[in-house]
Amino acid sequence: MASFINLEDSPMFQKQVFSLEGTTDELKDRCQKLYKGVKKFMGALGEASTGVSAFADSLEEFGAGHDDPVSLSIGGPVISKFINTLRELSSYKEFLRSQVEHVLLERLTNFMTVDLQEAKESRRRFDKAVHSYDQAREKFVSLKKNTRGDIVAELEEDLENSKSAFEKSRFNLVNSLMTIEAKKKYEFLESISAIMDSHLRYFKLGYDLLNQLEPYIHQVLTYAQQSKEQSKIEQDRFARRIQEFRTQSELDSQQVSEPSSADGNHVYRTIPHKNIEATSISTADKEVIKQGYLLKRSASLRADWKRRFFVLDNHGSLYYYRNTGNKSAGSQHYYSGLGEHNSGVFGRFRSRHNRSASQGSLDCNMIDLRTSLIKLDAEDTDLRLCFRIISPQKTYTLQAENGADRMDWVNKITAAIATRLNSHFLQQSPNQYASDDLSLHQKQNYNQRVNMGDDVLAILRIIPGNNACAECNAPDPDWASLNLGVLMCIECSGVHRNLGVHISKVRSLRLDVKVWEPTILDLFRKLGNAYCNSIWEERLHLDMSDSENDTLALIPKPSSKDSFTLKENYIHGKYLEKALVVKDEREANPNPTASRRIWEAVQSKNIREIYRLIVTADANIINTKFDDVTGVDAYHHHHDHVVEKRHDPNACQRIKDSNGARNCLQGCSLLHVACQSGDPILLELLLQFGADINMRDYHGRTPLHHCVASGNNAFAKVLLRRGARPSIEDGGGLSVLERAMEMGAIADEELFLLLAECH
Amino acid sequence: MGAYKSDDDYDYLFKLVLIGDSGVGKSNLLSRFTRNEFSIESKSTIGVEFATRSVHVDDKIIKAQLWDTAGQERYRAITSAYYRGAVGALLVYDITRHITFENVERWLKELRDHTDANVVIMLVGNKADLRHLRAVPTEEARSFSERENMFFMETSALDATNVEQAFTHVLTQIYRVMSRKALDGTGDPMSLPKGQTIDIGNKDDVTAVKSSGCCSG
Repeated sequence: MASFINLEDSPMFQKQVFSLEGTTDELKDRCQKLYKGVKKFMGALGEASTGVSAFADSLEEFGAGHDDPVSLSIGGPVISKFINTLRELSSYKEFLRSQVEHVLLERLTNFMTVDLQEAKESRRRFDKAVHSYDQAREKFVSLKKNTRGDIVAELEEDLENSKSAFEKSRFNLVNSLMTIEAKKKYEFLESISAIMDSHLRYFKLGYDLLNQLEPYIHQVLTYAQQSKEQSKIEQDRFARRIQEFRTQSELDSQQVSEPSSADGNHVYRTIPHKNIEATSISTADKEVIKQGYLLKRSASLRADWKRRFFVLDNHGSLYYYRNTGNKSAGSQHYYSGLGEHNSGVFGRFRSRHNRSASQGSLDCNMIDLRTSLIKLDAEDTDLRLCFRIISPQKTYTLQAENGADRMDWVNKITAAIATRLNSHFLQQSPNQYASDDLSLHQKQNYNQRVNMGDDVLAILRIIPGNNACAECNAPDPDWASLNLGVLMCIECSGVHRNLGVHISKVRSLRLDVKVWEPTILDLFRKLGNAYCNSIWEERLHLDMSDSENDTLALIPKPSSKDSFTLKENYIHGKYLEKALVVKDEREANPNPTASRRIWEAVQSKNIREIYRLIVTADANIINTKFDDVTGVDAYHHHHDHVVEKRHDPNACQRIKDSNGARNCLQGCSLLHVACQSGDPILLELLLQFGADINMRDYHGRTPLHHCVASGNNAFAKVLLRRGARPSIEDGGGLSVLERAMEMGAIADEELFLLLAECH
Repeated sequence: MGAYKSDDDYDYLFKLVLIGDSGVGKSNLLSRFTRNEFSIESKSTIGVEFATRSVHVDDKIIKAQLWDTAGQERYRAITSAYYRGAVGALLVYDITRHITFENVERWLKELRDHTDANVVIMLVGNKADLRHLRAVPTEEARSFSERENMFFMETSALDATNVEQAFTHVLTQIYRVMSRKALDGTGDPMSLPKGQTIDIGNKDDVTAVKSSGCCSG
């Protein structure tokens, strides 16, 4: 760096001074530019700070209130914590700004105004001193020889003085230049690094603050996530409700429209009796029977149509609301339905009165049904879908939005009128009606069941013999015995119930919706009342001459009109004593034969034959085993194996050789065979007749073991749902799950769950 | 029929579950360990897969019953049945996909929700052969596993690196926990095989060994 080696006033010195001054000027320029930049930066910081606090303010306004509902619903109390943080951050920004101002801006200004200015001043003074020195020197030099000595002395002194002033200002200039030179080495580094430091502190403060807040932020995020999921679930539920509502209304409209297609105009006479019961008076609570929008023709001269919300409740009252949401509500004409004629003015007054009172913003108008009459179509309009309610005071002309809806309204109002009248005459015994009362909800359920049951009914009734009760020939039976495979009327089903489930499992075709799975329907298709009775009532169909020898008097088949006792006797005799079954007595020793025949029937999947054999056999042959049929141990001889390993399927050469479970039948039951057959109807039949689901074969394997070993997942699941125990260990000590694991995988997760459930 | 089916002779049977995100290589770890097989073109697991293999620890035969399921989603219907009775778990992530490592925490939570507190867990960073694609630094995983009290290993089912070690280590640790429990439970050193030193977790191993020796004598 340039330093003055020689302090004498010399051209070199002058040059050095000039170059220094040049750099100082340059520095000054740069300083001014920096100054501008710093100013801008400060402005930005200040703006950011006020911006953040403005944001905080607006947030506060948005929802930081602790008691107004809007704030609470958007999570205000949570937000207020964030607002505080934002304010804090804003103050940090402000602090950083002031740091920049003090550390950088002020020092820079100082440098520029004091040091640089000083250099300038010194230069000015120096120039002045140079000038006066030059003058003094000139004067002194131009003195003539004859000049007086005192003048010479005076001028010499002047010269001396100006010289020393020149020297002084010269050093001053150098000094101030050197000061700048020295200062620029540290001044800027110092202040800028100080600024960097305050940045560091700024971010550190911010980090600390937000770091503290971090768990809280995450908590709020999780909460928001949960709320999101929750509301999604609620939305789904709501959507489902809407769906249900829509299907329900579709169902309703179908039901109402079905008869109308058949019977044209007079359909309203085909109102089911139940509807009338449904609208009976319930003394306790008020329930809505039907509600919905109808168009009502106003009674004014203009006779315009207004859409009104009508409600029919189970007290037999019909009333309607008018929408008052629209602005023109006050100017609309209003007519009371209370059976009085009101002038428009009075009505308007009432309407306001009502509105301010109990109904809030809804006006409610009552129509007295007791003395009313309902008629289809309006006399004086050619509009479709109309009907009228005529009361002595007033006639309401209404229009439904579709045909089904109109039928429904007419039916229900008719029923309501009827019950209101009845209740007047029978007020002494209102309980009788209350017990018949079905709530709207119950009725809906009932309707749904009927609809689902209709399919089942249709399928089952077309099977031969199923158009009448298997016991008393009553038409249209809607009860069934699952295991016996027959349909019957409700009265006979009562008798069947009393037989016990080991004889007959009674289910309703309409009400037990879940029972009627495809497999059981298929089983019923294979059987049917006609076939089943041909076995259970075979003796009835034999020649009478043949049965004359029989001293046991045949119980005559009852008809639907016969008494309950008669039917009961008949059914008991038919199923408990099997009195009408022709026993298989063609061979001397029938039982082993029956076992063998059922075994063969199962193997050939002959459902009807199996059914017949089960019914006609003297003993219970449902749990027949392979060994009962062959009579000998066909495969295994006890001394063949070491005792403890005897039953392990892994040790069975027959299974090993053929690599299949089915090849060792020893100890297998009919159910084992059915599982191997792959016929679900066969499986169903055996299960219905009480085949032991957990029967173990010679190797200790249950039917479930067989199914899993052969990969028959569908059957395995059926068995598990019907009570097969997966924990039973086979001869090798392994449960079904363990056997499945040995096979490497269970691809069916449902099966895995069922198997693991009891593990 | 499984290759290891006939190994009926075992002293202990331990159920181990494999968990982790879809596609981290659980099934290939399983097949590498039990059958020494690897398949590049493996499909997503359907349902639950099982395999067994026996290993020797000390002089005992330990049969490992390994359960493996698709990692497509947590909290499935089968979850509780899947974890039930598991004494060890391999929590697998893919070192080339950071997200699979991020999800480890959630798997861990599910595992701890459904299993005994003593369950031995090993965090396994699989696909270690794909060095050039690494997205999860070893140290990050290691420090995480230390925090969560898990063992940690990076493996490659493809080139068989550390697969054997990972499974064996877990099985050995389970065995140690079991025998420690047995020791604590019965308090009878006689029930232990002779000449066997068992780390019962005391700080002072010498005294532990000594005292057991003294008591039995």
